[in-house]
Amino acid sequence: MIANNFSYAKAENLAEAFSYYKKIQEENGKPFYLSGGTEIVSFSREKKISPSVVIDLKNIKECNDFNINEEKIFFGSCLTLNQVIEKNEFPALVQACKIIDNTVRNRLTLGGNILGKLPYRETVLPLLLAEAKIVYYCENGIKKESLSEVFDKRIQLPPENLVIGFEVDKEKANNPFYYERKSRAFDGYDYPIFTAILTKEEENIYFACTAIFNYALKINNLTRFLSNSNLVAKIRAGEAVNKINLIYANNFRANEKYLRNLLTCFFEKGIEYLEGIK
Amino acid sequence: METKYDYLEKSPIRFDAEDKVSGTAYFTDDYKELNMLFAAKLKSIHAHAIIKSINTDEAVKQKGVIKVLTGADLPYLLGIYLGDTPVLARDRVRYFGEPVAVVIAKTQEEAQNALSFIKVEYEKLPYVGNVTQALKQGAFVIHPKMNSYSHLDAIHPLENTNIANINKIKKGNVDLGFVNSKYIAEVNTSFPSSDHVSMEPRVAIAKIKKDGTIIIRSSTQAPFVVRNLLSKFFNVPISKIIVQTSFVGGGYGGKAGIQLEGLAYLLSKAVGGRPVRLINKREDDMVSSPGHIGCYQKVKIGISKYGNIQAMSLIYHFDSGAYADYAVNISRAAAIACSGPYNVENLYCESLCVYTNHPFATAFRGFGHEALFGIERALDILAEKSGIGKLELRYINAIKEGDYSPTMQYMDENTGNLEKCISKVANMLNYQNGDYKMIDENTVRAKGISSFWKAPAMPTNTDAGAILTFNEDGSLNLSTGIVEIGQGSYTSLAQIAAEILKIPLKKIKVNYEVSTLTSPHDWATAASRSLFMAGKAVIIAANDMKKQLFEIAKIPLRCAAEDLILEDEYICQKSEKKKRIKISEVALGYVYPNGNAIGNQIIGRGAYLSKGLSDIDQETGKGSPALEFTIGVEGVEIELSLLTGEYKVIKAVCAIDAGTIINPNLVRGQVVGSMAMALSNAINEEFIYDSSGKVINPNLRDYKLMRFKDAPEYQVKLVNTEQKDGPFGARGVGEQGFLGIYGALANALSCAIKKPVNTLPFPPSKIYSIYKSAGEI
Repeated sequence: MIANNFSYAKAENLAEAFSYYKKIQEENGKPFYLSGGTEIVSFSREKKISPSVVIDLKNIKECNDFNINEEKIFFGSCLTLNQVIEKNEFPALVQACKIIDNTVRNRLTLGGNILGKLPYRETVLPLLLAEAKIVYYCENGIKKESLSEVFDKRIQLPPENLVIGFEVDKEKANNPFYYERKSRAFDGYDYPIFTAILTKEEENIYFACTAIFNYALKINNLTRFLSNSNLVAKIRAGEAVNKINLIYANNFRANEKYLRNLLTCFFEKGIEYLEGIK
Repeated sequence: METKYDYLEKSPIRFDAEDKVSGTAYFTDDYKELNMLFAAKLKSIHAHAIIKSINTDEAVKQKGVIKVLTGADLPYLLGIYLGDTPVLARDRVRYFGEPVAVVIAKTQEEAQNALSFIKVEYEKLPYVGNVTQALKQGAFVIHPKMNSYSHLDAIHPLENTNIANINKIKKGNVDLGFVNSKYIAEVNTSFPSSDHVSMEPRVAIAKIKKDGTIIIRSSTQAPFVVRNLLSKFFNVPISKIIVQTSFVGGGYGGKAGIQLEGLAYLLSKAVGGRPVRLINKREDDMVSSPGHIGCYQKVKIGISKYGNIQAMSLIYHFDSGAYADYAVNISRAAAIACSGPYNVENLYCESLCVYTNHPFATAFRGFGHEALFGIERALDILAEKSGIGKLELRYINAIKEGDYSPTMQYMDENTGNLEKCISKVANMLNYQNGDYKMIDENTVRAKGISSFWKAPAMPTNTDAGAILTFNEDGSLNLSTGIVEIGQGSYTSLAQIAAEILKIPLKKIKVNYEVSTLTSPHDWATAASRSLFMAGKAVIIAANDMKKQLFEIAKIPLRCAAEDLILEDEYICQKSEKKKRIKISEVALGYVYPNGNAIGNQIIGRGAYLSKGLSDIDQETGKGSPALEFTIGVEGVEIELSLLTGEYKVIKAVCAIDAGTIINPNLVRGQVVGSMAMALSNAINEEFIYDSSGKVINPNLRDYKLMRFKDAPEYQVKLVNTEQKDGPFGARGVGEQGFLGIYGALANALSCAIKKPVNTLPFPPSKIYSIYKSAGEI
């Protein structure tokens, strides 16, 4: 139950949603874009957020689009995780969408997972690795730019900017990958302690992860260690882990020692897997 | 299943199945009252603090708010054994989540919303964060006014300490026993406080009629206990209180005793008797209302060269949290059954119930007998030391008819057969192939087993009643005081009535609505005793009906009552079955063709009262507190990665001596349900506190239960040593399946990583860290 009152508005197009958001902002209100609503409901319940207005995006065509052609795939931000899974066009993204449970995935959207309050943002990992473009609506209309340019722990765009969706190269979407997700005890339906993806493009192995270092990120400087085929996977894994200079999560779900170990095992298995399927 | 019965040892579909599956069953919160008001609780944000002031000025001005109440307005203490619990915190808070104020408003949303306008000023007190701290010399005393609290005689609180109850068991000569031991194992084990997580959060609706009659509708397992305690603590005659309940969405002990009912009554009183609904949000239900007790166990066991237990010394420190509630009887129950299902001649146990600044504890499936997992760890260690097999060691020491329980109760012919349970578990786990196997260089399969037993720890005069009435067509209505909390007892009770009266189940209606106004008196739906006691009452009621049927039928049938039998809804002459009358022709009195009537409507009356039970002696523990012991063995098989500590429970098995089985599916349901609950609890469940005692996972986002996806293969085998004083030889099985899982899983994990795993819960990161730590098993 959400105890406090708030207004609900349903936007019919991008411009309407954007200008209404701006208007509420200017009136010192607290507008929130709404798509699946899983976080808005649960955080409002706990009073961790208290929107004055929610602006429903579900009627906006562009946000619900899924397009595919010879070269590109576009995922609208209001697609539910289950819709992305059903489209089945981006194997690593499909894996990353398999979080929580079916019931929640019927509501939880791609945009919500990436733009919400929770730090995990699992679905951003394959998008970062595939060098996806983010498409959003701002003061100057629709804009497209590199996702990694605007992503630092979260999407660093002004809050009124409305994320329409993500575009990836079909080829990159089909790069081989290795994925693991782990929770404190029951995998899948608890928050992750460890979500990590390796992808391989030509001879290079790229890495992105979340939860391990408290937020989602792609770590670029590991590629040369992970891809060094002169060394066996175990050595490469150890070197890569030693190279990481980030603060590990340390809470009741996991600690550094355990996460380092999981990461080492992950790199070793992942490298062997990716190089074995050549 | 081959059976001599028409209706027993069979699994008809539960009577409540269609209503529940279709969502049409009425639970407490589905009842709406005219003019009903809604209440919400403000919870303490500190684990231990003085309440300096509470300002409700802003809150009362909020839309829809009728009244805001604090502890100062409601100066009452409550408690089932020990009256230590304020209905709303007064002067100080003793745990994170303790209710400090209540808003009554026109809607639930308005009540909830106004909470944030209440300003409470606290001054922090030292946080007593565990039982060790609580028991230290000079520890901060959480209840300085203990001597002013009322308590039952069976409870022994120690003033100026944090000890709410202490029980001891002394049997034989423990010191000598250890001297005579060839092998000795000492082990410290523990499990933390956690929650029941019933699907239905607690809710109570209270109203007061103009004549002063208090009507409470509540999600309670114990309507009669609620009535009794309301009367006692609020000084209202019992005759002025009616407590009603219908379906309860899971109890597990968490809805026994008194929960929200006292506060709900006071809230209704504060608004002139208008109906007030007080419902727990999930977050309230988890920390504000009581949960599962925590416990530390210090276990020392000595065995002879041949494996016979020579001595057992046990220290149990139960973490009651801030208030005593049921915890003081849980620590007593653990003492009563402290040895586990083993024959131990030299036994010492000291069981303490200790206050801390944790959310408080109440009854929970297993009622403290889960502390016996320490013994199971010690037995595995002894097996390693002595070279005697793990199964064999348990087999050698199995308690049998002729032995004595820890309280020196004679174990009679009804004693369950532990040896048979051990061999059934061994079979289900393929134990002949060993308990440890490397699958590849980093993967291990391991097995663990644990015995268990449990006796109900209830008042010595626990009762149950049953009333059977007839309808015109000879169909039957059954009422008892048992609450349907998910266990399915009513289906079994109907089977019992059907068996005696030879009336098909489809012609029996059970009354799921329990009301202290109309239902026969019943202690509580707790302690796995519904089928046992209400079953006995139903047998008596059905036989009472049968006798009355024969008394009337013998007249038109012109024979003696003893010449009659019941068959297919007819009363027949034994020698000539053609001479018969339909039950329906006699049920409401027999009418001759000319219109003359004889007899009258038949009402079946049955009642049960436990007899011959006594409390235990404070110094020695001697006494007869146990009505029956249900005995069994459980085992698990796991597959574990040595690289990460991740593991999967592949198989969980249970052999339980349940006596005669009235309804096999319901027994299996109870046992498997208990096992699933225990696995979830053992693997992941615990309240986690920050350094000031704030619970950091008081919600289902952060407190995760096991789901079906992770369920192992479950196998249940039943052993049938008749419980001669039970209904058709049956005994209780509601909780026992919980009890062996801690030990079985701990033993399997210890076996897999060759290091002792003694501290619950067991998430993989902990197993990995133990595996990597120094030291050997």
